[in-house]
Amino acid sequence: MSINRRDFAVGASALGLAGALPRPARAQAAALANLRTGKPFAGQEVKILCVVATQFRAHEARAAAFTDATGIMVKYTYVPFANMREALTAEMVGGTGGFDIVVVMDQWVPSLVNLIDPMDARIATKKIDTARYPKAFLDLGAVDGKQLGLPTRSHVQLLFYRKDLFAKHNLAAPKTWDEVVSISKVLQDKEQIAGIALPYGKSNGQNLMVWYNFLWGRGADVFDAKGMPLFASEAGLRATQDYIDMLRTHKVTPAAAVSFNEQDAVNSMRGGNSAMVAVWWWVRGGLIDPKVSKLTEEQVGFTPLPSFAGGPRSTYINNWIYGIARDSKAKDAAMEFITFVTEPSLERDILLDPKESDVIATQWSNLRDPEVNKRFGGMHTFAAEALQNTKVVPYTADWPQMMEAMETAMSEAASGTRSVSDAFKAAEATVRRIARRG
Amino acid sequence: MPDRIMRYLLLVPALVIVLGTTLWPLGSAIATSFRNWRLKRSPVPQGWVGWDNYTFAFEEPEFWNALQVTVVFVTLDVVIAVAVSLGLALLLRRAGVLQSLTRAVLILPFAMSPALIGVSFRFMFNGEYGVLAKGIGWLVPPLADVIWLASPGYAMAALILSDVWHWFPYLTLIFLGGLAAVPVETEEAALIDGATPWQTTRLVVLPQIKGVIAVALLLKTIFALKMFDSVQTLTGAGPGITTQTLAHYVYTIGFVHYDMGHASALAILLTAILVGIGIVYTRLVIPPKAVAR
Repeated sequence: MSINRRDFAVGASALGLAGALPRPARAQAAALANLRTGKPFAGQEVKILCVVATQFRAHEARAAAFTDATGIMVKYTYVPFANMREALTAEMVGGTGGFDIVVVMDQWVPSLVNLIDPMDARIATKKIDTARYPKAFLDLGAVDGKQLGLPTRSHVQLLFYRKDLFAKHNLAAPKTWDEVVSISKVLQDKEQIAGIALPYGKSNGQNLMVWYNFLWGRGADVFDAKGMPLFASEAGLRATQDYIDMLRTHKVTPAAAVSFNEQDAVNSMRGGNSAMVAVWWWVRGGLIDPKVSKLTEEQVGFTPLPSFAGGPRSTYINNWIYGIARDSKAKDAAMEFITFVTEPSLERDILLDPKESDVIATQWSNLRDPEVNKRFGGMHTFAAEALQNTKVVPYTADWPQMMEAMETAMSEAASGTRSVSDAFKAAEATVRRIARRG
Repeated sequence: MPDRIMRYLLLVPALVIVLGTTLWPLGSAIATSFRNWRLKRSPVPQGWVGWDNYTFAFEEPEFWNALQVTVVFVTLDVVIAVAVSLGLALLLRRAGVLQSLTRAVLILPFAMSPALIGVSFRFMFNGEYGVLAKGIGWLVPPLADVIWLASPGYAMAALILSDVWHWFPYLTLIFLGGLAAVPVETEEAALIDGATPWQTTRLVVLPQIKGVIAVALLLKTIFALKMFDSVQTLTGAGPGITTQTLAHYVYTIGFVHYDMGHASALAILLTAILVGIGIVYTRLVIPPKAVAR
């Protein structure tokens, strides 16, 4: 159904009235404005298969207004991250139409392409302006030029550091990895605290996530333009050696970092054992949460990830999409909900809700919003800057298999069971074999 | 209806359930192992590929690595778990308040989910704050600086330790059951004849529970061969792939590489190994009389 004059008038009136309402009500009114009038899907239920995350709980909490306006019921099913890919796979193979909306992480999108219905036509019908998203986020939800979903939970990396210790020793936030090493040595010497917590252990490719920035900083990359591995080039091996040297040569990470996953690295900083951690922005809440952390908001600062002298300060990004399941029997109703829940005003409402602590913003307007930045100390401005120049890893259907080869190599190099060169040359051969087999 | 027909008819529901939950999946896996089914290309199985998935498995160095890791893990894990459990059962077999209490508490580790045990041991072996890492370092000072999950040997030791901790209660209860059936008179007679307690245990008690020990070995071997959960949650198969068991390799091929045909072929090979071990154990270790009993 296209928007006619009556619908436009209703929407405009709603928006006009909404101007006098408090922020949450205004946000909901704006989010509802782009929905079809007349409740054509009343009585249908939209079932969502979703990873456990506070942001989706916040979406669920706001679904009641959507149900009131449309008559469409919404049911979230949460799955822990560790089991999410298996759950999505089972849904794809089963083909039962058990879920209408699936939440899928970027790396999995190409290999789960048979699970998700392309959304381009629906996005066009809804007149959703995709320019409201950073291109990198959108690209990570597309395969072969088809948009399979809209970004809903997107992350950039930041370097979190102990503001109090830095101030005590007159240290400035590092801009290069060399500065990270020198600052770490000062703090290790004077405070008996490890410099920076980095993950080197195997766990869903988490030991690669900071390493990508080392590659980019040295002018290397994961793949070349033809999709062949480039990470074992001379520049790639140098960057990898730099990353391993933080652990094995400079010893500025905790010794235990050799088996750390991302959570262990975060725990190290919030337990007061490390002065810095390079990790996703959403971790901030946990770093300053008195229930799980020894640190307070005043003690934790953040800055864009460092680079090498003259290199770009990049960020690896992570992106989850809301996609419509190919076997769904309620695709139109599902699109109504996605339209509602991805509305910028709703995202902003969650960002400014004092009861919520999630930092996630997927859209330019919220990344640059003064109130949002005021609440989170300017974090979103950093993110917006990084997003303008960031690279993305070009994921393919073979990516999980290739990633496994690389994370194994990283684990071998970190534990010393193989040299950087041997481990990554072997990984390169494996990746080439995977690419050839297709 | 005649009784003869009725009794077969009554078996039908159970037969349907057994066929539906065991033979059908097994048959389906065997069929899939001869097909090309790569989930990233198609959600349904594609053409028949003969023995390709099997030959491909043997060509992969990761398969031989997983086989080697599995042999090392199973050998050490089974021997240690059975020895610890048997020793504990011999200590707990006598009646007493302490023994009764210990027996009751003993079952708790076995009631825990293996995945949860893996996660818990991962925390306990954490080099920064892990209680087990610190405790072992305190008891054995040369191990104080060991990062348990960082080297192949120690990671394997951690894996075995977590699995032994999970299984020893169950095995101990099996042995306690076997020991309860040993007539006290045989031990008393040996002691009267001048045998030491150790000789009595070794030459009189243990031979009488040989069948139980064999069953425990068989069960533990089968479960050790299937080791997956703790590999996934404790070591992540690392460092590198030095703790990747066959079961974990099958999972990786199926759910990371999305190659269901190849994963099915590997699963059938693993099943064949399990069946082979079962047959060998039954024929060689358990005497026909013990089986009959």
